[in-house]
Order: sequence, then structure tokens, then C-alpha cells
Amino acid sequence: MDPRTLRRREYSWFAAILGISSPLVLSVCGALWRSPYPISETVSLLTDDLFASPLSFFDSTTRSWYRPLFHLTWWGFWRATGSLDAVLFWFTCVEVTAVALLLVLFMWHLRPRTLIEGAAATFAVAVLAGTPGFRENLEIPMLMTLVGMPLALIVWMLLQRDHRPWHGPAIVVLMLIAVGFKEQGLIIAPLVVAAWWTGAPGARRGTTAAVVAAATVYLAMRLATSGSWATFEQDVGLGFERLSAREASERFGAAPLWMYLYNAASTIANILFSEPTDGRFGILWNLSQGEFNAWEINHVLSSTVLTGLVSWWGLRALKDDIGRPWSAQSRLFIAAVLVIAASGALGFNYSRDRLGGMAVVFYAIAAYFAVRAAADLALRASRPGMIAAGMALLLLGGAWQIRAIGTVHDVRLKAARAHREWITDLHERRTDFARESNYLQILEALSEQGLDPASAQPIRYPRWLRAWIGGR
Amino acid sequence: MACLIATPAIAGALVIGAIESGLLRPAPSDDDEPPAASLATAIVEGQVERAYAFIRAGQDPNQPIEFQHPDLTGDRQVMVSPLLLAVASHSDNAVSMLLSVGVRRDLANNRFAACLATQLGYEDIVQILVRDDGPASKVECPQPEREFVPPLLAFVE
Repeated sequence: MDPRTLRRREYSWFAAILGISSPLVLSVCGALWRSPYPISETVSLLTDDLFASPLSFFDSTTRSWYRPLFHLTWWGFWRATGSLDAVLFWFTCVEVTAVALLLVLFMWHLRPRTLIEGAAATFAVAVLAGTPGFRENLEIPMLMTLVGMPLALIVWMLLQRDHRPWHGPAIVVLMLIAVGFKEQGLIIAPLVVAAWWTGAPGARRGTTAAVVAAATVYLAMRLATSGSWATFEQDVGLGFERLSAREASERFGAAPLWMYLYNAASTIANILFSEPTDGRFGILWNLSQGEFNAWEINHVLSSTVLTGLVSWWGLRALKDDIGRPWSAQSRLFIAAVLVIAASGALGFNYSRDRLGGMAVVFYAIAAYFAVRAAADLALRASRPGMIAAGMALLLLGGAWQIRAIGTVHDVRLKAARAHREWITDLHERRTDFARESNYLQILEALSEQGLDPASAQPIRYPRWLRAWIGGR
Repeated sequence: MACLIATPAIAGALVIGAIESGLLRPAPSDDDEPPAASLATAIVEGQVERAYAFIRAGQDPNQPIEFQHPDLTGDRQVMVSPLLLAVASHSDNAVSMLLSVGVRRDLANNRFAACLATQLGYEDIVQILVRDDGPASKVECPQPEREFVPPLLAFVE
């Protein structure tokens, strides 16, 4: 097939996948767009950032986390517009654009060429949208990881392309931007190393060295100021329990390594199996208490089956490449494994679903290849085998599609919670911060968007449907 | 095979598209709590967003409202302020909401809200009411009279 025909076919399939996925993409973006900024996060954040010196954002000794570009974005919008409404508008634009860009780039990256590949791509979009790592990052104004996710995907796309002189500097800059928004941006470093090690066309030694050097300098800078960190910055889950940061410090403060390993393993397990959540095996606990929630069982089963499928595909790709140069599929599998492991390592202090955000992009790409490989194999099987495999993929796709719909519902529920907080907490905030004029000014200026009932209108699904999509 | 894999995505797109465009309005289950029909019901049933919607729509949160309840008023019809009703219902969210929208605690209808909360043993609500060291914290509570059962009746018109 000549390149022009091939390209035309890619565009056609991309348009088809985009068309099928557009209701999901638009619903997620629309729900996010209408979400109010929560009283609990935003007012303090704005009070701290709008009137601060931009240089202070780069000082790694003042806070245990380091997100200079996130804070600089608030400050920059404020300086550029001088209006709080405009700041919120532009910030929402950034957040919604990051989500839309990620989903569209994801489909563009897959660029199917056949009917089977197109079907696998629709499956993969549901996987990306249905993972806890994606879902838990859809929260205004906490867009730090959401910015990093498309940047990591762009880096991966550049690494797969034929090398151009600007690719190397672009990759380094993209990593610095991602890291500037959140530490999780560091996962771009193992991504580049994996690509270089497996001979990706766009990965050069110089680029890899620059990325590793930048990551090393960053880590050295952060570790040099780690003396001011608490042993545990936030609450942690352990088994069926939840421990406050203070309790965790009392129990594990003398030898926190095992707890750090547990946290890292929890984040990895959450990406692969959707359990535990925040380090706590809540679904298992509910089951042990005889509480069967359809959405919980769906989450664990669909993740476990898909992880099994991805493992089968990945190991088969590695086996096929023994004695040969790495194929694109083996490269992706190795990169996905490294990125998932790195996400776990970066979540050593406490485990949260959102910490898997960068990794789920690569998990979903791997799901695309795994489903495509399973479908190809099924087509060569006997008729009963083909029907059985087809039905299994239908069920698995349905399970993930329900999860994707649940993500839209979850964004709306978060918006409703934020609206409720404004209604109930406004008096308390006015009282507690009565002597802080900047805080009060921002609080009053933001109150209208938080109190507006139109900002939060969750759809009242029937109870049976909520049981499947997870209407907490 | 491709159709089987793509079917959930196509079905999902149709469902989401139909819901978002308003073509499909999922009906809530019969056992779901219906939206409260009045401010008083919303407060008593803990539907704080619904209660807020009434006030946002123009209902004055300082004006007493008609109310009758087998437990809270002994089935007597009384005029009670939304704040006292929220206290009697042990709805801390409704109390917070009413304070947020600017309910005046110095009004005769509201001034004994903290007293009622104390009498009912709702320490969490007392804390909300006196948090700002405002009028509620300076009120001298009347001695509870035994014949008023339930306690709300002692503080209403």
C-alpha cells in the first residue's frame, strides 16, 4: 500500500475513533468545565500564590512538595489579567485542554489502520478514561498530573519517530515542564531510558544522558532539602486500616522503609488491579463483610483480567524478540513496566490513585496492543474458540465502558461535593479567617461560582445503574 | 470480532450522547428520596442543597415557617425559624448553610438557637453557633420548663 493511501486510511480511522469517543471526551470536559473551584483547596492556594514572589515558588525548602510551575501559572494569570474571574477562566481552560489534549493525542498515537485496530482503539480509550489514575486527577484545580500526562505521551510519540535535531531539546524541556508541575513528571526519565535501551528511532544517547542528568540534579536538589519533610506527609492506608500521618509516624517512624515499600506496592497494585485504594483494601474489606457492590467487583475484575491480558501480550512480544532487535511492542511493554514501577516509587510516602496518572497512559496503550493481539489470535482459532474469545472481549470492553461512564459521573459528584462545601463551610471560613483580608476578599470573590447550583448537577441515575458506575 | 470489541464503545457513546443531549433522562429509582417540597422539609430531611435552593430562589431565611412534625413538635403546627428547625433536626450542615447565607442570630426567632442545641445535647451545633464569638455566645438561656416536650416548643411562637 502506498504511503498516501496508508495515511488517508489512518486519518479515516482516527476520525471514526474520535467520533465514537467524542461523547465521552466532551462529557468529561463539559463536566470539568462546569465544576466549581472548591473552597477547601482554592482559596488558600490563591491567597498564597497571587501575592507571593514568583521566586519563592522555586525554593524547595519552603514546602515538602515542589510544584513551581503550578504556582507560577496562577501567579502569571493573575499578573496578566488582574481579575480573579479571568484567572479562574484561564485556569479551567488549561485543565480542560490538558484532558482533551491527552485523549485526542492518545487516539492519534494509536492511529488504527484496520477494523480490528479501530475496535481495539475504542477499547483502549475506555481503559484510559476508566482507570483510577485518570479519574482521580479530574479535579479542579489540581491539574498538576493532568498537565504531565499528555506531555509524557508527546515524549513517547517523539521517541517513536525518526530522529530530528529538535527532538532531544524538546524532550528535555517537556520533562522539565512536567516535573515543574509535579514530581510525577520524573517518570519521563525511565521512559526515555527504556526507549533508548530498546533502540527507539527517536531516542539518542545525548538526549537520554541529558534527561537522566536533569532527573538526577532534580532528585539531588529535593533530597538535599528532605530534612524538613515529615516521615509521612499524609494519611496512609495499611491493610484494612487507615492511619493518620501522625499515627503512621508513631508506628513506623523509626524504620519507615517497609511502609514506604508498602505504599509503592499499593500504588502499583492500584494501577494494575484497582485495589487497594490509597493503600487500603476497601473492596476486599467490603467483600469480607458481605457487602457486594457491583462497581467495586467490576473495577477489580476488569483490571485483573486486563492486566493478565497485557502481561500475556507483553511476555509473548518479548519472547518473539529473543535474538532480534526490539520491536515497538516489546519496547512499549518494557516502558510501561518501568513507568508503572517508577510511579510506585514516586508514591513511596503515601499511596493515592492519582499518583498512577502518568502510568495509566502507557497501561492503556498496552491494552490496545493486547486486545489487538488477542483478537488476531482469536480470528485464527476454531469457530467455538473465536466465539468464546469474542464474547470475552465484549464483556471486558463492556466492563471498561461502564467504568468510563462512571468517570463522567464521578466528575459531576466531585462538583456536587464542592458546591455543598461552599454552602456549608462559607460561614466557618469567614469566621476562621476574619483577620486575613486577602483570604476574605478571595473567598467572597469566589463564593458566587461555588454557590451557583448550576455548577453542580449530578444526574440522578437509577439506583441499579449507580450500583454499576459507582455513584458514591 | 471487531464488532464485538467495538460494541461497548458504540453503546456507551450512544448512552452518553443521549443523556447529555437530554434525549434520555434517567428516572430515579422509586426508593430514592424525592426532592423536598418546602424549606422546612428540606432542613428536616437533611437536603441541604435543596434547602439552599429555596433561599436562593428568594425565601427569607429569617422568616419563621409553618411546621408540624410528630417528634419535633408533638404534631402541633407551629411557626419556627429555619435556624431553630435546623438545630432541632440536628442538621449541622443546615445550620452552617443558614449562617453562610447570613441568618441573623440576634433576631428574637433565632437568639435561643444555641440554648436549644445545648438543651438537646448537640455540642457540635453549639460549637458552630458560637464559633465566631458572636451574639449566640452571649445569650442567657432561659431555664427549661418541664412541660415543653419536645424541647423545640419552648422556643417557638
